[in-house]
This record gives sequence, C-alpha cells and structure tokens, in this order.
Amino acid sequence: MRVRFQASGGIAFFPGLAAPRTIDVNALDARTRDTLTKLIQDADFFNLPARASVRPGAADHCTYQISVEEGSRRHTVNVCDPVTSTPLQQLIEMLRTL
Amino acid sequence: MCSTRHSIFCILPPHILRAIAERGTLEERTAASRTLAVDSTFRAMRAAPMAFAAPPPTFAVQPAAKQRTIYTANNLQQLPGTAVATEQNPPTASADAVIVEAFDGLGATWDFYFDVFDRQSIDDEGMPLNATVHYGNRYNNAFWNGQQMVFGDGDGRLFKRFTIALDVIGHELTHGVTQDEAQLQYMFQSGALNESMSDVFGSLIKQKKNGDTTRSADWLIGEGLFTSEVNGQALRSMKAPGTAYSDPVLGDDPQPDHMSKYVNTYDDNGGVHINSGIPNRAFYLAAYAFDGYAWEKAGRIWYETLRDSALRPTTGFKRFAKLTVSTAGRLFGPGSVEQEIVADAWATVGLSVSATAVAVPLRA
Repeated sequence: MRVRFQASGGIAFFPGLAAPRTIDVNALDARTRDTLTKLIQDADFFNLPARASVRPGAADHCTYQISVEEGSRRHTVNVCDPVTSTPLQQLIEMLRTL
Repeated sequence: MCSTRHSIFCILPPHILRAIAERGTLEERTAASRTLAVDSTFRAMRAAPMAFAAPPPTFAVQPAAKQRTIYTANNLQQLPGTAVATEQNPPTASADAVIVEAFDGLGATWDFYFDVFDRQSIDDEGMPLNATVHYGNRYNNAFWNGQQMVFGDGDGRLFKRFTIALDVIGHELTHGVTQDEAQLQYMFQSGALNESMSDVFGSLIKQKKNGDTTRSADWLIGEGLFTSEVNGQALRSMKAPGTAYSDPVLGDDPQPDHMSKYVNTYDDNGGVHINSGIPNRAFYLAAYAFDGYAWEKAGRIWYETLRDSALRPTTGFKRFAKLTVSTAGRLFGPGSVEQEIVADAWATVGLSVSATAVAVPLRA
C-alpha cells in the first residue's frame, strides 16, 4: 500500500510545507502500519467522494489531498477544513506527522 | 377613514357639504359644518406636508450592538463547539488567554468597522460574530468557514496560538466583509485581491488599536505567530513582500512585490496568498504617501472600492487598480493629489493606470 498526502491552503502559503509526500506503508514499523491501515478502513476511504464541497465565502481553510494505492485499487479524495469524519480527521492527523 | 357617524358625510365634496350646512336640518347643518372644518384642516395639511410632518418617533434608533460568542472545540473539529463566552457573559481577566484574545479581537474588529466606516458588523446589519478556539489538535491555522472564525492552537514548534495576532483576526473577519460586498472569487487574481483586502483591513485594525501611523506601523501580517524556532518575522510583509521569512522548514517567503515577478501557479488556489503581495504593496505605498493614519485616506479608498458595484467577483488586478483610482477621484476630486498618489502606487508595482484617463462615474 502506498499513500500520497498533500496539505495546501491555510492562512499563508509556505513552500517548505507544500510539497506532497509519498508513504510506503509496507516500509513502516508494524504498529504504525497497522494503525494507518485501520484508519484508512475506518474512514471507508475507498468509498469517500472524490471532492468535498466548500461553503461559499470560505477562506484560508486547509485542503488535503489523499491518494491510496492498494493492489489494483486506487482512490483519491480532496477534503477541506472542517473535516467532519472523525476517522478521516485522525487519518489526516497521522499523515501530517509521518 | 371617516370620523363622523353619519355616513352621508364621508365622501361628500365641499360644495355639497356647504349646501347642507345652509339648507339642512339642525342636525344635518351641525354635522356638515363640523365636517367642513375638519376637512379644511386636512386639505391645508396636504397642501403643506412639511409644515405638518409627522413628529419624530419617540424611541431612538439604536445602532446594532456587538454580539460575540466564543466557542471551544476542545481540540476536536466539530463546529461551533461549546460556548464559553458571550456579550452577556464575557471572559474574565483570569480566563483562558485564547478565549480572551478571540473575544477582544472580534470586538476590536467590530469597533474598527463601526468607528471608521459606520459599518455594523461584517454584513452591515449587525451580524453576530462567532469564533471557535482550540480547534483540532495542534492545528497550525486559522480560517473563515463562510459563517464564523476558527482558530487553531498551533503546534508550539513552529507556531504559537493563532489568536495571538489581532491582524489575523481582522484578516479572517474581513473575508466575511468581502463575501458580503464583492464575493471576489477565491482563486487566481480575484482571490489574491480577496486575500489582499483581508491583509489591508487586518493591518488597519491592528494599526488603529495600536495608534500607529503609516510611519510607525510594522506593516507585517501575523507578527508574533512564529515561535523562536522559525527564522522569520511574520506570515507576510505588506511593505516588503517576499521578506517576511526565510526558514529551512517553511521555505522562503514566496510573495512578489511587482507584476514582473507575478507567480503563475495552480498551487494555493492559483497563488492567492502569494500574489496578494502586489496589491498589498500598492496599498502600503499609497498609505505611506498619504502619511498620517492609513485608514483615513487609503483605507477609505479601498473600502469604498470594495463596496463599488463595479467590483465584480472575477475582477483582476488591473481593473481593481482602475477602480481605486476612480474611487479616489470620486472621493477627493478628479485630478486630485490623492488620485495621483493611488495611480503612482499602482504604477510602482507594475500596473499603470492613468489618473487622468479614468472616468469618474457620476453618482445620483
């Protein structure tokens, strides 16, 4: 499994924080790999809509693009703050720190 | 409405009433005479409406008052969260600093728009100001969700709490003002103008709170947000775009200060936080040339331009520059020094707008 994560937006654009990161899940330690895999399952990631709507007039919110590739399956979602799904919140939080 | 019981007198013209007053029965003559007297009075009042204008209402029309509510998300991400302070129950001096800062910052923003522009809250109709603090876990951001402000606590490694900077609070709430007035689309040049508006008025709110003149102001956005680990002063500099930070983790401040350095990108909604440096510097240049307090002339010109119906959701830099010059002409006179100062400011950042070539629209 490979996960590509990119956070953008916010109150300022920081070039050093804008680059996407790709995580080879199989290369993680067992505990981290299991936690990440469970969060992806709990978020029902492969059934999430590709793009969440943004409230009119919203500004300076963060946007998260997450792509997960597992075997023949591949899915990409784009979500914006506030992220209402708790498992998805936790997934994003973990990806930000990996 | 007829004030007499006798229905025959309700719609009768004066010459018939006079005939009845002369030749009717005693009762009919009395009623007709009374009706003629009242009718004559009303006719005189209709002929001189101003002399008999209705007295002013006995109640005073009060301006809308501040209605602030601060919520806490308790480090989760559900909005708005739990209310922890209101106008009726403001935070005490010993309360959580984040709650106090958010409450005071909303108040300072409300006060600025009311005192300077006679604007009652974000929508000029007394809209309640709501903010949620302690959003998320070490969340490095603050944003406007279209209805309210949201503040993160920062991770403590790169960023402090986001309520610490008054101009950030003013910046976010001004997105609501822009949403109400112009709906500048949040992408590419219109989005950069949207961002610039928030930086302009966020800075003015801070300047007015501090009593800063154009000379004493630091013209920095978000000064105080970074921890000591970051090599930088602030999120952005309006005076010198591109110089606010140069950090091994955050990177180098990407803002251009001239159209020749405009950044064409699909990142950041087409560079809305990047290219805002250009109109930001134009505002700074105009304000500096005016001297004094930046909200008095430059701020007024920008505010009236924001309210101008000619400012469209897709307006870009060139058209916006023309509109500010036009507004300056409308406020201070065509060919005025003020109009030239605004045109010069834009020319300095690479957007030439002739002060004399801009038609000043006639207003009814």
